[in-house]
Amino acid sequence: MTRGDDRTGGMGRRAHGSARKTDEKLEDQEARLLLETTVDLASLRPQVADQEAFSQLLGAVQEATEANNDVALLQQRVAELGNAVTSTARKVVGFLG
Amino acid sequence: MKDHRYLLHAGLLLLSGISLSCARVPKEVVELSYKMGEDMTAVHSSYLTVVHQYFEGLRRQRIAYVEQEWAPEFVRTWITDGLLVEVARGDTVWSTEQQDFVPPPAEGREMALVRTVGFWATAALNEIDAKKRSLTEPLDSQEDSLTVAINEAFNQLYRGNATITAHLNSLRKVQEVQDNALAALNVKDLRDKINSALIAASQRAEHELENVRKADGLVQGAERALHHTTPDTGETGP
Repeated sequence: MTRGDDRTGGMGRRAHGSARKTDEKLEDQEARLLLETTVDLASLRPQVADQEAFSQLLGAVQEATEANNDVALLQQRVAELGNAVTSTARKVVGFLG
Repeated sequence: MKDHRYLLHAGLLLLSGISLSCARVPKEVVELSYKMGEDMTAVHSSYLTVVHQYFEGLRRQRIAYVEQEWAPEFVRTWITDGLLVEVARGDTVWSTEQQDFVPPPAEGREMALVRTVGFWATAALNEIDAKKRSLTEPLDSQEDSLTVAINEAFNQLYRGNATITAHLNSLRKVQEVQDNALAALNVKDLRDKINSALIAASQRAEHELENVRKADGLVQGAERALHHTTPDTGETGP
């Protein structure tokens, strides 16, 4: 059986009336309890950098990272090309010799 | 003299450029940044646990109030309003048809009384549960909202740290490729040599600066001493 059940509807309403009377009687105690158990959400919330400024910084760093990766890749390819050219030149010299 | 000053500035600029291009990015810095990401996960988890325990404490406090103060007072009131004493005496029962208390029927009286006590108890428990919910649900939603804020903040930190780690890694990659290129040119330790020379130069510069400061102090001391021993003629200097 739940609240509002057909068979207890009237009974439930009466019980609800008793609950309201209890609330009125214990009003001060409840107000004190609520005060003691109030949460200062603002003080518990982490104060991090604002989203927009943070995203801008991330974007700038990511751009620099991509540029670095491109430079590293280019340098690597140039070095590989140099090795390949040297190796080919040696083969050509060997062939001609 | 002017030319020398330009040359000096050009030299300093060149040294700065070499110094920047020779800055070391040890592989440990990438590892450190990665480890910080892992540690952040641990701090994140602890933060959430602390917040949850804090809210659990507040919920317990409110539930204790309901169980120890509110419910006993409510039951006292409900015994009167819900005619429990009259039901116990067998004077009245709850009629589901009329939704009201009525005199007990001649037939099935005992069953009607038992059912009435059942309705009475269910209504009482429903009210007590509703009271608990009314006091704990605001805390639940505050905890949910705070948890979302904490997760968002930590996700921001994770993204920041991952970006820094990736950037350090890219610097590391560039350095590795440069090291390989220098090794191929048989000048593998050039970067270290330049760095060592720059560090030594910096230390020498500091030492010389200290000597200059000392000399300056001596000159100022001598000036003061001279000023004390020379009689004041009232004349102004040339």
